[in-house]
Amino acid sequence: MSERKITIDVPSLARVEGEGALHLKIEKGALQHLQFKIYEPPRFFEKFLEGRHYTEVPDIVARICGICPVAYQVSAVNALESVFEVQLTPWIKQMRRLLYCGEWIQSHSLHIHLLALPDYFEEDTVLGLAAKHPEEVKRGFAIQEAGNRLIKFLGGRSVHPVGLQVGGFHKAPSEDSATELLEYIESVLPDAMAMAEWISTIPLPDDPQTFNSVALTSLDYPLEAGRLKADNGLDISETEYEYYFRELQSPHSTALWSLMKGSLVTGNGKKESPMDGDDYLVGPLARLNLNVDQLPEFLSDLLEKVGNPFPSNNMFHSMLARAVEICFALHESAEILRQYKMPDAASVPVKVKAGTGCGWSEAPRGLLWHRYDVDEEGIIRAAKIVPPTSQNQARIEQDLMRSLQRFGLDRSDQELRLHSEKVVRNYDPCISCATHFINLTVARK
Amino acid sequence: MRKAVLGVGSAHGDDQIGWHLVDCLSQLGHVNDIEFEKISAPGGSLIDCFRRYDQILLIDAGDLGLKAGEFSLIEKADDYLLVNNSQPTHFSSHSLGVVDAYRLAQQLQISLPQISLFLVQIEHTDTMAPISNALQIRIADYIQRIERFVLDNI
Repeated sequence: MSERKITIDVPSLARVEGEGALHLKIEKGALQHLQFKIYEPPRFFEKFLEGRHYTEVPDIVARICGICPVAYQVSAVNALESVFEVQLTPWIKQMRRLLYCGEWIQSHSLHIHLLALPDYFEEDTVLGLAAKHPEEVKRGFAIQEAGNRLIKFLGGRSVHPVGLQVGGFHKAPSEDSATELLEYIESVLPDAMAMAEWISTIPLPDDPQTFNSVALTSLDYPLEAGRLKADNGLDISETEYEYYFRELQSPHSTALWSLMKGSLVTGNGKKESPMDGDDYLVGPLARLNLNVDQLPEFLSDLLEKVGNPFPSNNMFHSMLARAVEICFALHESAEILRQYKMPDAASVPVKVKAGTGCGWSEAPRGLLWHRYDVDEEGIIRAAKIVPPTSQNQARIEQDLMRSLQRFGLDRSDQELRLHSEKVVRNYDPCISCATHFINLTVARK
Repeated sequence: MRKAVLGVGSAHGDDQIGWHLVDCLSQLGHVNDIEFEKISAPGGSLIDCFRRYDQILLIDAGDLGLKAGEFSLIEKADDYLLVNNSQPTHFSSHSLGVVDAYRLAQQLQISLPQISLFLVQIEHTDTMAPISNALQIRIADYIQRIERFVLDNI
């Protein structure tokens, strides 16, 4: 056993969204201390929402994240529409799904090519990767562009889109623009399939772990709606979320952690949570683990070619999961666009009433849950948002503990540091999203 | 022809200077055909941002080896960006700063517009700190110099 003392500080994690750090201390061959630290200043979005009219919510929550604004908008309108008992038209439901596909394509492609892949080619940044694989990186940008175009099609612009409202959309795009977009999507789909096949050839660490996958499920592969399921049988609606999950403050993180709860008394009597106090996984790998059978038949050949490891207990399959989801989202987008017709109306009337509503959707990084209390004037009185990175924080630390020990603590500092960073990047953490809120206690004398 | 003055920055210390100068310039109002845009840690999306325009003046803070507050105005970005090494900081999303994004575009043979640079030497980039005095006292100089450059060249 090694007698050396190692302290590894990664003061600023590169190639993640936002500002985080990692601290490791190894003594006598054992991990003594490990912290995935989120130090980005809290952003207080829930407090900003209080006192705002419900119509402002989609545009305010979009500003929580530049990478997944659609997820914030969709979870928010889902929650508010449940309060107002809005009945959406099939056109609106389809367009929400299409918009969401755009965000997955954009976010996943960015993560694969700019953030994750350089690790596997021993490069610090995409610049080095582009020197070795220029065509693959260029292809990645072309795929990402499909996502940008989809978001712009329904959102008016590709960054912080503004097309969505409670009750539908502000405007329906023209059929000509849908045809033009469809051509681009169809041209990129074969590239995406080739990208997924290429990624499946990249050697990955063999790093099996035990974890709870948590994701929405639905008849179609889940994006903008569904019921929440977990590996061991949890099956709940959005209104039950807080009965089974709890947030807590960890001293080394400006973002709240989220864990599974134990037994609780709910409105329907006592319910037992099967995973009391456990960390859990949300995101592409959790989604595929629980929903691989919901993928369209179109992708079965691809799954076979990439060796279909899903469900997988190796977090390093996350990159392939993202690649498969890109192919799914492009295929789904093409299917929706082929049937695109101008609607009679892009939105339905909304009748405001007081109440509390919950909504969720599958952000690129995983489950995103919202709850709003609204008064009879449509003013937000309370808001709660639980983003995916908050939910993955505890899992990231658990993963690092186990993965580093399996990797070998007697490795060089540089190897340990690189492996740790790879593990963290598997989760594609969006730290700016996670620091949306912090419990603030003021002691006055 | 779309022309823009882009301010790259973050909320930390002297890294705010790009945003601050764009705010000041856009309020002057007499350069009507120029668009102004503030960009936060753009990373790879900087390439897309460049491609939206035909001609760009990019304002950024950096460690140029000058005295704090001094600036460098470079008419052709190639002259600077292709010969200088970058030091990525956590202010650059995806570890891609301006230099890296420019080089990536070159490497992938993505055509870019004509880009000029106005770079200001930082004193510090302390988290959430205000712009240092060394830069504050020169803001009027910066604006005058940028205005003249824009009127003559863009």
